[in-house]
Amino acid sequence: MTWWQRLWHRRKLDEELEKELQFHLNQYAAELTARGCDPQEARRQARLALGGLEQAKENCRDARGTGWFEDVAQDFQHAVRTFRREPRFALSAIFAIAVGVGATTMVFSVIYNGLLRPFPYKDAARLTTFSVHDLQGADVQGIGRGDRGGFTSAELLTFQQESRSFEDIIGFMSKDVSLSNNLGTQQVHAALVTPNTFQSLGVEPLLGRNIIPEDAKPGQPPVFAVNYKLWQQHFDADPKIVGTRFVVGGVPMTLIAIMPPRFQINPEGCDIWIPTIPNPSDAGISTNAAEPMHFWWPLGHLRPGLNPKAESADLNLVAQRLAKTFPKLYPPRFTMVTRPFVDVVIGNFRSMLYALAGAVGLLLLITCTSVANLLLARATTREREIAIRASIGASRGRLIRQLVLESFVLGSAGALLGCVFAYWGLKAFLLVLPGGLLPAEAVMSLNPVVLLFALGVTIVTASVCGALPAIHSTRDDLCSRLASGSKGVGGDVRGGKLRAALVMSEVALSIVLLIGAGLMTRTLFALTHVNLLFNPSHILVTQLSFPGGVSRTATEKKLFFEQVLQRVTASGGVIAAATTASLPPYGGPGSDVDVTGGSNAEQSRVQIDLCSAGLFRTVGIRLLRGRLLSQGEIASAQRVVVVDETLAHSFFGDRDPVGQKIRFKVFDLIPDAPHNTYFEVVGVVNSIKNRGLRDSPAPQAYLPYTTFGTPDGNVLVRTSGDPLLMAKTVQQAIQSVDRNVSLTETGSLQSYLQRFDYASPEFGVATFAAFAGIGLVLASVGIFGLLAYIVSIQTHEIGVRLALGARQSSILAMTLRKGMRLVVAGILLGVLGSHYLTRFLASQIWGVSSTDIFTFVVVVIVVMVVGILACLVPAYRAAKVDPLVALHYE
Amino acid sequence: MTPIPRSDLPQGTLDLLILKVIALGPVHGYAIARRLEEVSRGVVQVPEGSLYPALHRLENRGLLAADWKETETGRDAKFYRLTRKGRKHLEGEAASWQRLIDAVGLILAMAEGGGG
Repeated sequence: MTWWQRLWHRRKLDEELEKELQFHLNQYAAELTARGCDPQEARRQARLALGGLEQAKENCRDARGTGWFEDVAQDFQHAVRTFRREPRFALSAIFAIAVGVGATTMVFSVIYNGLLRPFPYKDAARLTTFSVHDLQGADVQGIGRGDRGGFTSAELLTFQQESRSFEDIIGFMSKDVSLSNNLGTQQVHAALVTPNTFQSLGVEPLLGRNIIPEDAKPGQPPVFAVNYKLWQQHFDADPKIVGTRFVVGGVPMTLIAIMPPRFQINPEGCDIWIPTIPNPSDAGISTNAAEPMHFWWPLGHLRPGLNPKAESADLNLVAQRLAKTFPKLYPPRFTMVTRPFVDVVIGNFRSMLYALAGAVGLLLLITCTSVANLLLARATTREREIAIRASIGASRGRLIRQLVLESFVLGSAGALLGCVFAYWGLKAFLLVLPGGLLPAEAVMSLNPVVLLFALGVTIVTASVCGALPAIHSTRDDLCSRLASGSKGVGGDVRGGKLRAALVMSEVALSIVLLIGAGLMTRTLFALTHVNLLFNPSHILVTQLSFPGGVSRTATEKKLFFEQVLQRVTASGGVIAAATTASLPPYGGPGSDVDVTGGSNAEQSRVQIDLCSAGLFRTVGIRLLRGRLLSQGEIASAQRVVVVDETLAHSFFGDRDPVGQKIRFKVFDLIPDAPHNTYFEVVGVVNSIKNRGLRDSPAPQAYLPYTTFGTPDGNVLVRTSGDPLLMAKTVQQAIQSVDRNVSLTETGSLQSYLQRFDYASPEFGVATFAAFAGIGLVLASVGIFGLLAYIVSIQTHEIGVRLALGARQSSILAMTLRKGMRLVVAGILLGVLGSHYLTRFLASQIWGVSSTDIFTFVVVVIVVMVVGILACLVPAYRAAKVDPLVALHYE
Repeated sequence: MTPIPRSDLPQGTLDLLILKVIALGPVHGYAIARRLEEVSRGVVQVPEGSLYPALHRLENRGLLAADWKETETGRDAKFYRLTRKGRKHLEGEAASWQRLIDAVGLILAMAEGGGG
């Protein structure tokens, strides 16, 4: 029999044991009687020889090895019974544990599912991408995207063949194509992927067969795979669609696979995947003006056990050879850098997640502290019970076990409720979480790993909460406790010091969370109040996407935009409209430049914009010297440029830049752009923010958009009223010129700012404020509880004081002082802690110091006020003590 | 008759003795107690209070098995017998016990005769 069988059959075993021992006694007694002993005396002797029947039974039961379990079961029943007698205590403890476990589990779920295991791909932890890091470009304060992460077909093939640090390398490339079958045509985002992609990532299709490298071989019928979402939304989840023929971007292809929902690869998202063999003769710079550049984004499984140094050394070796073959593609000094794939998507949000983990850890500490406080308070009122149990033979270990078990019972209930909290918390979390911060593949759920984590947190919480009060309340000898049965008068309140320390820590921890939330709020305020150096309100932004395959030369572009801008401007409510290649305040492409008549400073990189004449009026950029680009110059694509004052200052110093010339080296790489051409500076305008809200303006040049053909362009419209109301008008104006042009990401410039800059700190404020708020509530309940307890114990003393003539107000003040002493100590501790801890938030805060005095002062005031409120009720109760009642009380 | 001095059982030998007694054939608890007393001629004092826990422990370890059978007098009793595992255990323990006794005897003899 195994021990649990013995446990299960313990009734039967007990009966058998009784029978066996009775048999023994009978035999013995019979033998003694046979020898002439008195039958009664014989039975007595038999029992004596056995050492007592019950004792023998107990020893035999111990031999089963199930005794501990029975004890625990007994303790468990006892615990449940006592909690049902004190529902208020039990519920508050369960609730506190649930909050702690729930919040921790929620944050862990986000970190685990979003950061640690976001991808459903094979060996996803080793998926790594690489890029060319411009060592000089990086010196120029990171202007103009000094890193290149995309590679030409020839480069990709070389890396695939020659790199030793990767097991395999796949490549993907975005392309907008039309997708048509007999039912209709639509524009979709496609990803061209190298044919090894599906095998390398090890994802089986939901329907159909997996795409294998042979599918892309010349002569094989072209195939493609479809995204789950597109399949659901546009093909009504019809399984029969697999195997049917489509025309994709003008090429007949067979749909052979529906991929599962979590399959993505392209961080920007895509609707279909087309296996494509990179064409080595493709220089990456097409003669087709519609797609002047197309690059493969590489992704591969690093060999296990490599360090970043070895990886980049290996990649550098390959890249140095490539740089000799394609000198124009590589900066003079560069190095290859590798990045985990998850970083490509998560980027800076990683540190926000870590900050969140820290915050939720503090919150868990607060809940642990407050539960320990509750248990301690209860232990003090249960002293007699514990003392009596000890005096009738319960060992200290047994008592501690019982008390710890009680906290485990509370913990289990709290954990269950906590999982419910985590479930809803996760839903709320995803509501406030801005899109695009976590990989699209990630699914936030309470999966087994997360639940296991919750279990672990609960066990730790319950042990920490339970052990401290248990050890404390079984500490000293019995006599003193039985003797001091009456509550202490005046002197040191039992457990009071420990409880005071706990309450103090609660206050201190809340302070840290509040200051974190405060700094986040200040950051959000600073960001929303950044002076962009132009007025972002009343600007409508839309991005135009031309149908794939239709080439736009500079002339075609000019014809198109001239009509579009004319029609948009003619609409009522429109003040000005323009086309641009960049989006203020986020800037556009960058280029190295040569200038005449100026110093080619080390800072030779500038941002360029290809725009129409109306840009300056639309954005609100003022002319400082010379003149702006004229309609005529733009129509005839004159080689003229308007620069901003930052460019003027950094390249020409105090001299007048008007009349000087600038050559943009990036144009040499683009087939139909003017090569080796100098542009004449005709005017200087004021600088505006052009690399995000946080950085100061970089040198900026504005050129006619007709300089060469680009595939897309933004249209900016300054409106007199709400820009969103004009969206429809603008769309109609654009599509009346060309029905095939689609508008994407149409929205006010404010909504862009919201999405790119305000969303993340708003998220930080929301989560930190929620955690800090819960922490503060728990702390104030702790203060209230402790003070109320102290007052109830000192009722007698207060009664004596009042009887001796103390005034109510002085009793009130005395009690308040007692409570506030704790609060102030907690505040001091918290401020000190925050001073050290807020530095970990540094990456999440901006425009404010991590030890911002204002934030600290406000938080201290808030906590003081809350502390006074929490002390006031017990203090008032103390002052209202009736001396007569109090003195009769004991 | 001078009373024979009784010895306490060395730690762990009770199990060995019980197994040995049971090895002779299925037997119930009371008979084991009597047999131990007889065989040791009263030298070994078996505390009856610890006999049954020991039996149960050995049964739980799978060294003993038990069946309820009628005795000669027609009463139901729990008869213990050795399992295969129990027999093996007994052989091993008995051998190591023998070695221990030999060694102790050797040392004692050496101490006595080794004065010179």
